[in-house]
Amino acid sequence: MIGQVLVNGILLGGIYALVSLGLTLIFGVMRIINFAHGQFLMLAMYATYWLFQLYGMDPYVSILIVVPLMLVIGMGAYRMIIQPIIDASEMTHVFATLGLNLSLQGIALFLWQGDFRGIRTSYSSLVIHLGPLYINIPRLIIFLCAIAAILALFLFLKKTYTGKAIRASAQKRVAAQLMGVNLSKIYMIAFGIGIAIVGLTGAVLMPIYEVFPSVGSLFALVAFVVVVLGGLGNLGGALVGGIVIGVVESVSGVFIAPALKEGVYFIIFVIILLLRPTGIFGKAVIR
Amino acid sequence: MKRFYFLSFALILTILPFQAVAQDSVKIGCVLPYTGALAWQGQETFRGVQLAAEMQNKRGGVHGKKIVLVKGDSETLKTAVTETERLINMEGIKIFAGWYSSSRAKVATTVTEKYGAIACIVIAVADDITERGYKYVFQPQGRATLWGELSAEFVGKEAAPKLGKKPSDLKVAIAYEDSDFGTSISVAFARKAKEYQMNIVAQEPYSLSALDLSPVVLRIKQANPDVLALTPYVRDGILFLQQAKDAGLSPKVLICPGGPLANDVFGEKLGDDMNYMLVTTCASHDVRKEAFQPEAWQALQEFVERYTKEFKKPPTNDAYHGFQGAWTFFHYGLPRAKSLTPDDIEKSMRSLVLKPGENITTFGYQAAPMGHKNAGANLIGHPNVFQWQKGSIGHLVYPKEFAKSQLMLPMPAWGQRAMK
Repeated sequence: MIGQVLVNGILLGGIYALVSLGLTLIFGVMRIINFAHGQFLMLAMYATYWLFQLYGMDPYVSILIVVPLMLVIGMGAYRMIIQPIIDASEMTHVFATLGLNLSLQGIALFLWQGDFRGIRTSYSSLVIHLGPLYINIPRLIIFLCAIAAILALFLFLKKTYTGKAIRASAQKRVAAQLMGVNLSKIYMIAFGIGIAIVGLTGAVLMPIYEVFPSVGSLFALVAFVVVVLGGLGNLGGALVGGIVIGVVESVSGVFIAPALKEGVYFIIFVIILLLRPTGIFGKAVIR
Repeated sequence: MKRFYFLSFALILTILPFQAVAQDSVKIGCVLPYTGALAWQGQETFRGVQLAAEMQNKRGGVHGKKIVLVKGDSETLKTAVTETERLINMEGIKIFAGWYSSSRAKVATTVTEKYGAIACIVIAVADDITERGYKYVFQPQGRATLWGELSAEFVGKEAAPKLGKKPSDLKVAIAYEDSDFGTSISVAFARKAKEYQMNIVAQEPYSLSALDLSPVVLRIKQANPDVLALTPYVRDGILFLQQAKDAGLSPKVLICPGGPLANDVFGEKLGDDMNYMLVTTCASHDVRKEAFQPEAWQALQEFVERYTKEFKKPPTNDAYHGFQGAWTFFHYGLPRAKSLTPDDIEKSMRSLVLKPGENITTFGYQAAPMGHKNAGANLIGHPNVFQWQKGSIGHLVYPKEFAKSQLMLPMPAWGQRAMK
């Protein structure tokens, strides 16, 4: 049983890591906590759903459309909402993204009502057995996507000019500008990439979760916990933080009580922050 | 100047939502979760309530006045309270029909009782809603104790023989979402199951917002039950069943004592794997025509036709609930009252008695008097047990006097439940 519990926890951690990756990237670069993160996930899930319903497109194939779509949406959202307030106070950022959160949820409810919409594929319940263990294939795919996304993002930030410009902007805004980096354009690209990752997440979540207007809120809270735990802006930290939360949740759910599992991981979260306030891999920011 | 225009605009926006209602109309507050995690259920329940209002208006309304429903959104417990208060204070509403979700109904009715407004809870069954001695609260669809107890009674009397076992031989696991709704029904189920000497091998509450229910599934699988009593809402119910399938958890009997598994979305998601699952609910589908008075049968059929025409599908379980609760109120309770004041409506609802078959439900209506432990609850609100068969939940199997379908047990393993 302990083996299965750990497998379930690690796979759950992969979901949490992928959900929080875009959030940690955006914060790492722009120091903005995107409270609309969950609603962008909701939009991506709806996009995947409608591509399946209207065109019979498999969720994994729809990644080719949903990811670029969310990239454009993310860049558009940055240009219209975030850019005008980028130099404003943190409270303004909070209210702007919270307002975006509520607006997107309201629009989704208006367009698609509160109905639960799910996708039924031939592989949603596909399971492979390794001895006494079982592994749900869609969940394994999500875990592998999380690793692939982190690696791809790491290589992009390390090897490409735009990636280096993003890193430079994250490290020292003014110095990056002096070096010729167009900060506005780089922030827009970074925000867009963060939301594009959310697009990937939405597409791979659809085989196992239903979409409805407030589904994003369910994922958003744990995403914030994972981001802070792993270290704000740290990609590897998002994976480690996600797996820590997933395993703690799974183990405590089985060996303590399912009703207490969220409480247990929050307690562990607080303990880790007390010992290491910047998160597992975070670095202190000098203002 | 800009500030003046802004303030004027803001003031106009606050006034606009107020609904101007003609003198020949009566406003009835309908507070339901139109947004949030229960939005789908709230939407469906409202559809039922709205159809009940339309049908009653077609019959002359109440006291010559047309029913006008005024919505309030109980997305959270807090908004259940604030919206109820808003409708009372800003809209002057003293009559309510609403509140899907026991937790929301419980907190909101503290407000209605404070202001002396009448509250007909169309579908929220927790016992403690009516354990406070409130005068103006009525619960026409029965309460959790009756739902949970009937489910356990069904398992003991009907399901056990199908498995070739006595009730005392059965191993029973209970899993439920841990709000008022799931807890109250499951506690009642467990209590009755123990009376039948069934062995409770697991009792697992979980949070409605959980993104992973594999711990619950694994704990129950380890207990190896014959019977699983599962009381979820919709999203978590789908998640539980999917993860139960992954883990190979397949009891011989799976019963949902609380209703949500009757929603079509389960069939859409799980297909033939839903067959054989049982659901306790008070909805009146697949019922025998002979068991109803002609007027009640006609009203029930009219509801089904209207819903099907408007929404291009058969009524959902929650739509039935909304309609049934509201129809008892709009068609029987309000017209019988001397006037539309809360006190006169209270007297009407308290004295109203409908035998099974006289109303559009299988169980009739009789409100518990003041002084009763559950004053306002429907004393005879016994629900029905339905079974998913051939991809449809519309198969009533218990009580037998109303049932058209045969109970089919034991439930086969996952992937082997197709029915021809």
